[in-house]
Amino acid sequence: MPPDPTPVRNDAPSSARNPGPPLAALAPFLSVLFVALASYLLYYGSRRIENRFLHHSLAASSGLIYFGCIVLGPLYITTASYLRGASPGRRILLASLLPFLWISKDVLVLTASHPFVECLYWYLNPLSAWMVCLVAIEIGVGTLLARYLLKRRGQSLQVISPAPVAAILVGLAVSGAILAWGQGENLFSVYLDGYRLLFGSGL
Amino acid sequence: VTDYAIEFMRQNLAPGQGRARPFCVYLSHRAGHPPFQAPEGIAGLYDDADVEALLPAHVDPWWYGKANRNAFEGVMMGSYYDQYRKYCETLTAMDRDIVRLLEFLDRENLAHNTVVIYMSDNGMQWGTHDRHGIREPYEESIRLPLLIHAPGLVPRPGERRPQMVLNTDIAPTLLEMAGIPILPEMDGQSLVPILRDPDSPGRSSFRLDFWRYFPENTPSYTGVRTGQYKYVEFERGRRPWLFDLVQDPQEQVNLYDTAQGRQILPHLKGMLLNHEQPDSSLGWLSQRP
Repeated sequence: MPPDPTPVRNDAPSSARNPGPPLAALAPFLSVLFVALASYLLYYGSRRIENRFLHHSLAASSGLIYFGCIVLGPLYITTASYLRGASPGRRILLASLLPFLWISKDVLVLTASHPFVECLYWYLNPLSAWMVCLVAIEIGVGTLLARYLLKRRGQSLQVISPAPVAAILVGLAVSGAILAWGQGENLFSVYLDGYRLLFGSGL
Repeated sequence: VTDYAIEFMRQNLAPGQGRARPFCVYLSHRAGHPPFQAPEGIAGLYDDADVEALLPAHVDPWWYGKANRNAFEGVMMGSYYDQYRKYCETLTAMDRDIVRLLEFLDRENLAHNTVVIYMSDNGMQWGTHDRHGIREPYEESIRLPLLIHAPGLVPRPGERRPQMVLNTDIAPTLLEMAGIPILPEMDGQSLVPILRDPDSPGRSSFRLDFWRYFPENTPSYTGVRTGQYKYVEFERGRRPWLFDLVQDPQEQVNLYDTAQGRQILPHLKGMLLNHEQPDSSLGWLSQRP
């Protein structure tokens, strides 16, 4: 078989291949955001239902969907926005936005008890570290998955490349390190030490 | 830790050391606290237990940590029902250890002259008031069990005492029981008079204080609890609480800014500001629940 004369560019803007309005790349994020918001509202709204079975069923299903949106949303958003021609920067931004909003919600909740500057420190909590690792892994996997799908559709491109593989490996390594070091409790302890260093005892 | 406690008592009773020495054991079980790890033989005991009726109806069986407005509401750590079952397992484990301890006292013929005090840390909300934690000043968190076995002091063992007491009372109580002078700067009051006489007067109010604790989302508060009322002022703009604990023991109706509340509030505020005890002439304030 003669070699493919098409130059291989791993992160070539796929809009060049699949032109469309830039906002089209937002659609995957917006759809996940919509589902997350709807399931969040349904979850809390289900408390008003007197029938326990119905309440529990709705809470379980909406909670599961909400959880799925936050945890698996970045994978879907990366893959789908890549297929719609989003640039690497936009893909990373869109994939990270929902977890960021999720943590921001807790920052807002915390303002009920702490000064705003202290609440901002919540962004650095170990849960965020886990989430950053997870998002990095999903961006890497989503990128490889999108390329694989494009290749199956006949596009000439290399599926495996250093950047997504590095994102996956770094994400796994950091997650593993946190897990190995006291299952995250030690990191949380360091995090609280940091709080005391910056803000005192909280009194 | 129960094994250590029993061994410690055994050493103090060991022959060859002359007569047995008096001892004081402070035994602090960690049971009833996350991560709820029950020992082998008890872990899994309640796996099939139906705990639904024990928890508030709105508690979600699936997502632990999603109690409304909890700082960790987004953190999902498994089934709430399973967490509650595990919590019950740790309590069962603690109960069995306490039985071992008491059986040791019986076996060694010490029960007749040994004081045993059982008390707990603050209680968890377990979904009541839409809360999961331990820091909100609801009765579930601030009203704790206290059982005292004091042979020779309590005229009719098994009786309940209605007086309000605090954990700061334990130290002066033990000092008085041991015949050691109570330092005037100690915060608490000896419970010995109450143990001896059920009609002995207790405190008619106490002050509640909490300093915000990162990252829990309960603001700092200060308040006062009398026999009938609880008034709490919070930082960060949260609406104060005023509950009539006699009419509303579940603390469902906040009387703050109501006609009834406005009538009671000045005195409660005054008590809070001045740290003063309630006026004994106002019997309705110091009424026992």
